[in-house]
Amino acid sequence: MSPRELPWPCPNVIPGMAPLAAILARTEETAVAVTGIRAYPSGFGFTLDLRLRGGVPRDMRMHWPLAGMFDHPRGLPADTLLRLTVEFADGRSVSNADPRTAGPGEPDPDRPMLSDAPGTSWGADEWYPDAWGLAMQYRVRPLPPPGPLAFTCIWPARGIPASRVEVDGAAILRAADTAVTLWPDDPYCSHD
Amino acid sequence: MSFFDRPARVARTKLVLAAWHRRRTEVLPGVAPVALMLARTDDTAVALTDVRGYPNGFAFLLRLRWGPAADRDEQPPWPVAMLGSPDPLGGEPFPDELLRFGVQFADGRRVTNMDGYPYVPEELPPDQPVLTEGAGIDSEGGSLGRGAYWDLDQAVQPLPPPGPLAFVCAWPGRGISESRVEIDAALVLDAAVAAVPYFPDGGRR
Repeated sequence: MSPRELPWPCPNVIPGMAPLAAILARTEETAVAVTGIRAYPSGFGFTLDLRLRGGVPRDMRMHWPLAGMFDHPRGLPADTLLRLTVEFADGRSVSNADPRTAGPGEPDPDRPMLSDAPGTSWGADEWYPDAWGLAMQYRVRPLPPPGPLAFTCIWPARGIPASRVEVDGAAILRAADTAVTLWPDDPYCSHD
Repeated sequence: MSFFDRPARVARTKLVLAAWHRRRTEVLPGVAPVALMLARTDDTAVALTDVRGYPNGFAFLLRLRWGPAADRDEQPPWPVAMLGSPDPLGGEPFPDELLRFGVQFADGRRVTNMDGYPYVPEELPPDQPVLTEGAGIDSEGGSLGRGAYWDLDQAVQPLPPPGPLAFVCAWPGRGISESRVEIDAALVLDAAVAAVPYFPDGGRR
């Protein structure tokens, strides 16, 4: 299984919440934020929030500028896409630019996995011609070890250099302890 | 008197949007460490997470869950009153199949999803809380073939006063009688204080 092919959390788990909301990077016309960490027994989810203004390409509605999202039809160059990486305190990391395909064999359970979706966007249209926003849901497995958990990004096309924000991995572990599994014997939710 | 006694119908209404709906480039809301189980039975749960504080209100995710059903092909009905009309029930009794949900401030002010939500009377006093869509995380949900889930992004404005903040629900059709969970409103108020502008100029250029 690829690090990027990860089932979405089963709806029968109500997550615990870690109170994170931080601007990861911003310029005059672009802001990248990480917010809403939802902690599950086997991993955590978060929201990547993008806000663009001024000179927003109208095709943002069609082609979200995130690495690894899908095959961009016109083969957009890598520097037009936002690359997001999650780094554990012990040095393990996973990026949305990691390849979707993986070699044969069972996945390494200790290797961090990152999945995306769902996401919702608005703007770059007749109502908001000069603004665009995206809330993209990501999920990481497994849970991080105690210590700093880092979110980093780089987005050359929007003038965003390598940027980093850290949160306390222990806070996510504490939130995971409060997650509630509603129907533990649910045969449709074996991944959680 | 029930928390969910329906208010009187009014002739003139207006649609309410979250104050931050039209200018979503302005504020990254703070997040409160809140995850609540409002009610739970063997096959139904009503939970609340993702509490976000804005300068003029707060949003949250109402998470509704149905467990595995005997009939895997059963199509669950939408569990809340349909939006898009100021009078979706046309004066008919509120069906037991619909979730009743409300919020109560420490000073007694309250708002529910009964009747015309998210429409309110035109002459609503400005300090009366209103319930509307959250304008942050898109609501989603539906059948999974063996149950169902809905994540509904909701918002209440204005911010609550200090003291207990109550979330109340009832769902007669799912065997849930009136259930109430209180948190300290300071959790929401602290999140609102932690809200920061996406851009230093507040997004107002």
